[in-house]
Formats: sequence, C-alpha cells, structure tokens
Amino acid sequence: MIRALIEKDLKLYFRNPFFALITLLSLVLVIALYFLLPAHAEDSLSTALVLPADTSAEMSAFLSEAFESELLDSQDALMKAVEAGDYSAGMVLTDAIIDDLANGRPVDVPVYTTPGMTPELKQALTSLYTAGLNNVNYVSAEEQLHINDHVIVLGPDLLDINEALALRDRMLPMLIMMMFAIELMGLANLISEEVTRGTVKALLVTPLRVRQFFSAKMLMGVGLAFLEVMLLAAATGKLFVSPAIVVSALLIGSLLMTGVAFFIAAFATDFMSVMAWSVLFLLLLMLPGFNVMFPTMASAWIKVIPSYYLVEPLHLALNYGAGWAQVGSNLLILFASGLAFLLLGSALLRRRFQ
Amino acid sequence: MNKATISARDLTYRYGDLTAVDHINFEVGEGEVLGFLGPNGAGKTTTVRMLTGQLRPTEGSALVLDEDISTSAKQVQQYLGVSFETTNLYEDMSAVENLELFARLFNLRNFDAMELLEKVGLSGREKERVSNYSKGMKQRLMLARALINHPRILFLDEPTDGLDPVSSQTIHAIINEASAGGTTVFLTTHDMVEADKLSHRVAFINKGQIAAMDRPAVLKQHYGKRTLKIEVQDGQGGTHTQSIPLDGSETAKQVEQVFASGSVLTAHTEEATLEDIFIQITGRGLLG
Repeated sequence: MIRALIEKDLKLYFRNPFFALITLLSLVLVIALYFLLPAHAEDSLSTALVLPADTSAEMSAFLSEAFESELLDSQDALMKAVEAGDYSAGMVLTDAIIDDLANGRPVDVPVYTTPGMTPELKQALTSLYTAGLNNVNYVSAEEQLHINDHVIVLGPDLLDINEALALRDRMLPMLIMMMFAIELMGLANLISEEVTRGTVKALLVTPLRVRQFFSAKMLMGVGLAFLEVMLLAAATGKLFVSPAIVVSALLIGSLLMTGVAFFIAAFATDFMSVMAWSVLFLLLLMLPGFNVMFPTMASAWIKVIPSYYLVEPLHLALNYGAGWAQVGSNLLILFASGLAFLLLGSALLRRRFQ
Repeated sequence: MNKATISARDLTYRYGDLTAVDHINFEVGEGEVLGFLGPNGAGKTTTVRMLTGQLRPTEGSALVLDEDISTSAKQVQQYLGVSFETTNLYEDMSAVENLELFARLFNLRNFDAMELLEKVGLSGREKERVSNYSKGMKQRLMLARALINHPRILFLDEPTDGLDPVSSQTIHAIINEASAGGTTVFLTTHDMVEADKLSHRVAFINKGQIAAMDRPAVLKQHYGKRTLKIEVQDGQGGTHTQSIPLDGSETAKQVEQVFASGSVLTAHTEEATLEDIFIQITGRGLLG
C-alpha cells in the first residue's frame, strides 16, 4: 500500500509542470552556479601608490617595494583605477607625509579602497600598510622597530589548509538549503492538495491506515529531498570529503524539511497559501546558510533556528572534513527537531482531515 | 428484510455543543437500497461518516457487517464502497491509473480496470487525464472506484446530483444491478423521484433524528392522501381544478356531483410525493 502511494505521489509531483520544471532546473542551475564561482578565495591584494613628482628614482623604487605597490602618476589616476577595480587599494604619499616619516613623526595617511571590501581584506590591507610605513620609518629614522608578521586564518581550519575558503564552498550549504526549499514547497503542495481535494478521504475509507498514509508521505518526501541534495553534493565532489557525515546530515535534513512540509500543509488551503507559508519558513530556515557565507552576520540567536544544526555540520563536514566529534551533537539536535516537526505536522494534518 | 448488514444503535455524534446525529436506530438488510433523505445539515453526511469508519460515534454504536465499525473500521472497510458527494479523484491521473491505485489499496490481484470502465460507460477515454472529464464522467468514475472491491455495502452520497439524464440512468442501472447482486446500497440523496424509484425503504432524517422510515408506498399510504384532480369548465369560458380526496367517506358523492354537471374536461388521480410527506412529517422542505 505504501509503495502504491509513493508511486502515485511521485507521478503527481512530476506531473505538476511547475514543480517538475523547477526541481530539475534548480538542480542543474545550482550545480552550474557552484562551478561558475571561483574555486579559490580571492585573497591577494593589489595596491597602487602615488609619490611626489620630485621623488628620486631610488626612493621611488624603495617605497614601491616597501608597500608592494605599483606606482601611479597622480592622485586622480589612482582614485579612478581603484574605483574601476584595477587595484584593491591605493595610497598617496605627499611631501609632508614623507617628511614626517623621515623624521619619525606620527603620520596620518588616507587609503583609498573599493566599496564592499571584506573585513578580512581590510585587516590584511592595514597590516600591509602599517608594515610598509614602519619599514620606511625604520630606514629613514634608523629607529629599531619590532614588526611581527603572522598568518591569521579566519574560521575553523580543521584540515589545517591554512587558506581562505572559496566563496562557492561557503555557499554550498546555502545551495543545499535552496534545493531543500524547492522540494519542501512541492511536498507541502502535494499533501495540501490531497486534503483540499478530499482524495485523502477516499484513501482512508479503504483498508489504508492513517499511519500508512503518513509513512508514504514521509518516505516520499525524505526520499525525494535526499536524492536531490545527494546529487548536488556528489556533483560538487564534496560528498566524498566526509561521506558518512554528509550522508547522515542530508538524510536527517530531509527529515526536517519533510516535517516542515507537513506543518505547512496542515495550514495551507491552496497553492498560493502553500507558497506564502513556504516563503515564511524558508526565510527563517535559510538564515543559518547566510551566516556561513557571512560569518559576522548573526550572533548566538541563530542557534534557535533548527536548520542551523543542518547547515553547521554540513559546512564543517563538506568544507573541513569534520569528524563525528565536531558534528555529532548538532546532528542529534537536528534529528530531534526533524522528528518534532514531523510529529507536530502529522498531528495537525490529522486534525485537519479528520 | 434480509439479514442486517448495517445496524445502528443509539448512534450519536456531537460537534461541541451541536448534536449532529441524535440517538438514531435503524437496520439495513443485505441487498436492500435505503434512501437516506434529509435537508442540508440534517445529519446525513455525519451518519455516513460514522458508518464508514471516518468518524467515531460520540455515543451508541454501529454494527457494519457484524463488526463494530468504531473498533474494526479497517477490517470492515475492505468490504465497503464509498462514493462521495464532492469529486475527489486524482485529476492529474487517468481513469485507469485512479482505479489501479485503489485496486492496489484493496490488494486486488488481476484487476481489470477496463471491465469497470466499460460498465460505467467510460471506455474509450480511459487514458485521458481526469481533469478533462465532464462532471458526469467524474461521477461515473467515482462510482466505478466505489465498486472496485465488489463491496458488500455501497455508500452513495448524491450520486446523480447535477447530472444529465443519460448519466443518471447509467448510475441507476448500476445501483439496481448491485442491489440485485446482494450489495446493500445506502443512498443519500435530495432527489425524491430518484429515492422513490430506487429505494426499497427510505428514512427521513431531520435535526439529527430519524422522523420516519419505511417503504415509499407505505409512507405514501400512511401519510399521503390520494386525490382526484378534476378540471372543470366554468360559466365564463374559463377552467378551474377541483381536488377530491379519494379515501374520504363523501368521495363517491362528490365525484358523482361533479360529473353530473357535465362540465368536466379532464380527471386524474394524484398521489402524494415523498417530498410532500417529508414536509408533512418534519414541517420543513428538503432544501431548507
């Protein structure tokens, strides 16, 4: 009986032109998007420098090397080049600044940067210029300076890869959430239609039991969601970093999404209300995905959202090869949340059609 | 009456403070067609939902095929066929796919959908999506679905509501055939003519209670008055109709007087309809 219902649901899911198209299209587009994004993080800084016109050739060469910058002719040219994105940043050293440096006086140097520069790059830029200015100051004033260079790795570095994560890898948990989102809407719509069209009543006056009806919906929902996100994880090659953990996280995540779909279907009365409820839930469920992309975005409250316990272990497992010790507790919380949503959604749905 | 297949004992259902079905008692025999009549909100659908195991009675019990439906619903449903008032088919599937799905739920082997579809006059369009069907075709498909397991009891809720005469005739023929084969038919309908034509007995339900239940002929004899309608020409060139009760002590004398006047144009007897009787018993119309 359960098998008959699952086959029927799959048939109906893919006969709905909207969901059939959007499911296949989003899978292809999300995989394409992943590969279109740069495979490595852009962590190099290109900088420019403008010096007074009468600076000697030796001094120019020294300063260019000290600041690892390309020399430009004028402040105007520098500003245009930075604005056009030719350089990450630029600095103009006037006669007064060079004089202050030569005499060991404190200096105030304006630095031009492109808008939207990440905090990591700004920090790197500050280090570069501070080191350069101290270097110049040391050579000019012959004062002993203590400059320590050290590498700062932002975020967890479980693999000790010692390099920044590419944007596409930071985006991967978010892309997985997007795939879940499509499936969630499709399943919620399928269940909601079953109730609003009264077909569930026809099913339940046969020997089919309510628990078999819910089991079929759950298996279909979890199966479809799991298959889609597994395809995505496999296509990106990330599935094989920590296969057991990734598969577990995706499977439990599918359970959570199916539970949420049950919950939505219990309230939605037609296609539009399925969409409205889905958007509401998805905005919330996707926040942890944004948090991975922009780590400074949210604080501890993000942990209240159940999908945090899906996104976080996925991020750690997919991108850093985390082990069970790092993600085990998150997966347990995820499982509990998924189960809670599933039971609550089932109870509400049952009330609706009985 | 043959052996009872449905037996309701003080069957009651309350929605909060509202008593939808109020301690009703009745039995329906094997192969019998029972017309269950009443206005909207009288408790017909709630009764059907209890008898088919969709609702658990608040009080009382219903034995269906000798089993208490509230505790053995799934065993009993194996032998029930239910056709709902509102269309609830899978519209994005074909007629064959709809029937095959339900055949699998009933665990039927070697099921032949075409045989049933031919019976309800849908062969030739069996592979079309149901969404393309007319209302009559959908209604016939719902009946086919209800017949899929050769049910011992068939619950039909307004099976011909809004259908053309041809579709209605097809459904009537199927109901008669099922009844002749021993299937009990529990027919809920607003259509008094249909109920009169198909039902061995009818039950009038009003405000959750059964107001009367018997064979249509007996109800008519008991509650209705046969009358003689005589169209008479009056003195000014017009006509008027006189009604003379046929069962009164003065009937013969009255008829003789009218015919003696020599102005009778037409005369015919008229029987009370089930609707007249329903109004007489309950004080309200079926559509009220």
